Amino acid sequence: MSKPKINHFAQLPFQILIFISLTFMCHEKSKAQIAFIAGGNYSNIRSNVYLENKKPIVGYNFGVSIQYYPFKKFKNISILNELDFTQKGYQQDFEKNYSFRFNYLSLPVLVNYSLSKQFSIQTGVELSKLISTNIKQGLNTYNGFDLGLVIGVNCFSSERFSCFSRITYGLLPLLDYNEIDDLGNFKNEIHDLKNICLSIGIKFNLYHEKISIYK
Amino acid sequence: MRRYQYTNSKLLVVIFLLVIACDGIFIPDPIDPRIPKYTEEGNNVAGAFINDNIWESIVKIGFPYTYNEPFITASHENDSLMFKFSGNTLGKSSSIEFHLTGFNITSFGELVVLKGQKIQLDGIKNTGYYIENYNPTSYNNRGIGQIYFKNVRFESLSSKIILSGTFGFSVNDLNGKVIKVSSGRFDYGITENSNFQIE
Repeated sequence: MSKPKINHFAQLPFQILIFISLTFMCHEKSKAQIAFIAGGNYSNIRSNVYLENKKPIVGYNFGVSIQYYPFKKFKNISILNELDFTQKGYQQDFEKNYSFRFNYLSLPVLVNYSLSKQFSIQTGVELSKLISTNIKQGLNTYNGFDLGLVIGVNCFSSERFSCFSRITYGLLPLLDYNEIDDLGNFKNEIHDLKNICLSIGIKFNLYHEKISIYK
Repeated sequence: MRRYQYTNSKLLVVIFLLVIACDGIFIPDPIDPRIPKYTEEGNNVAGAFINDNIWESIVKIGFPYTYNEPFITASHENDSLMFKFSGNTLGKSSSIEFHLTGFNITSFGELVVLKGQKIQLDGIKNTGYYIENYNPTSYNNRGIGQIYFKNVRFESLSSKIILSGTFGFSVNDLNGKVIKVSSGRFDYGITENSNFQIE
């Protein structure tokens, strides 16, 4: 008997849908504060192998954010789920400029702690799927999944427009590759190149009220 | 009628430009994007460092004509095998050649015996050459190093042999200075009619 075929293209949206659905199902009468976010990225790559003339690159990010307050006793703690399009990468400058842009669909899951009415700090993880690059056959060269640690701040949190800044520290290597020496000998496979990205942006709260999900 | 002729001639021009401007598929190496990534797809591309400069496997013969295909000559009589990779260094025509012996290649299909062969270029039996500006005196300087045919396979669908590997060698130039050919890699789709000759 043949095994049923799995459509891998449909996997990520399906997983996201399940994740968001479960989040809501876990909390009765849940409501969420929804916001649009958009901003710029200043990103680079960390590597053990020496990348000559490596420089950071400027990209962008945009997406939607859902924020909810699950704890009755800890009213200043909230959970942030986002679905973002985010562009990371780096460049190498020789006689010619070579830019490496990686476009990700990211799902940050952050814990937000409000220090005051106007200021909050955030930390969590970001799951990312590489959806395209500017490099020929880039999806065959670079790994498709990335996981990053996130730390950030949010200013004017109670306003309709607020601004945020966060650093994403990639944990998984982008590249599995055989290094080749000067003579052409294949050395050991390297697992290298990890993203690091500073994001700055604006958040527009669609639902201005802070919504708790407990009775 | 005249309109159709005009459309057809435009189409022919587009096809002509597409065919003659085919430079191969250059996928940048993720560590150093100036040279191609090592691939085994028959991308018709090669690259190497010539000291600190880049050798690329493209010969520009006026706009828009480019040429990037290798040529292989096998001689049964001399038991020799010659690989010529044409290209340019800083815009000047230059080629990298390998003259090998001991393989006794008598037909196109026999090139697959090279698969996995790491051949030491000793400057006597097997030699690497770096030829600038078609200068025949460059053949007096024999390069020492290595060529590695990591993967050689026959593709029956296209009747091509996909020839992929790496190379590196050192050779003296006409003034006695050392030219270091390093981090070389190639990935060619070879056809019997266009890229292979038996003597």
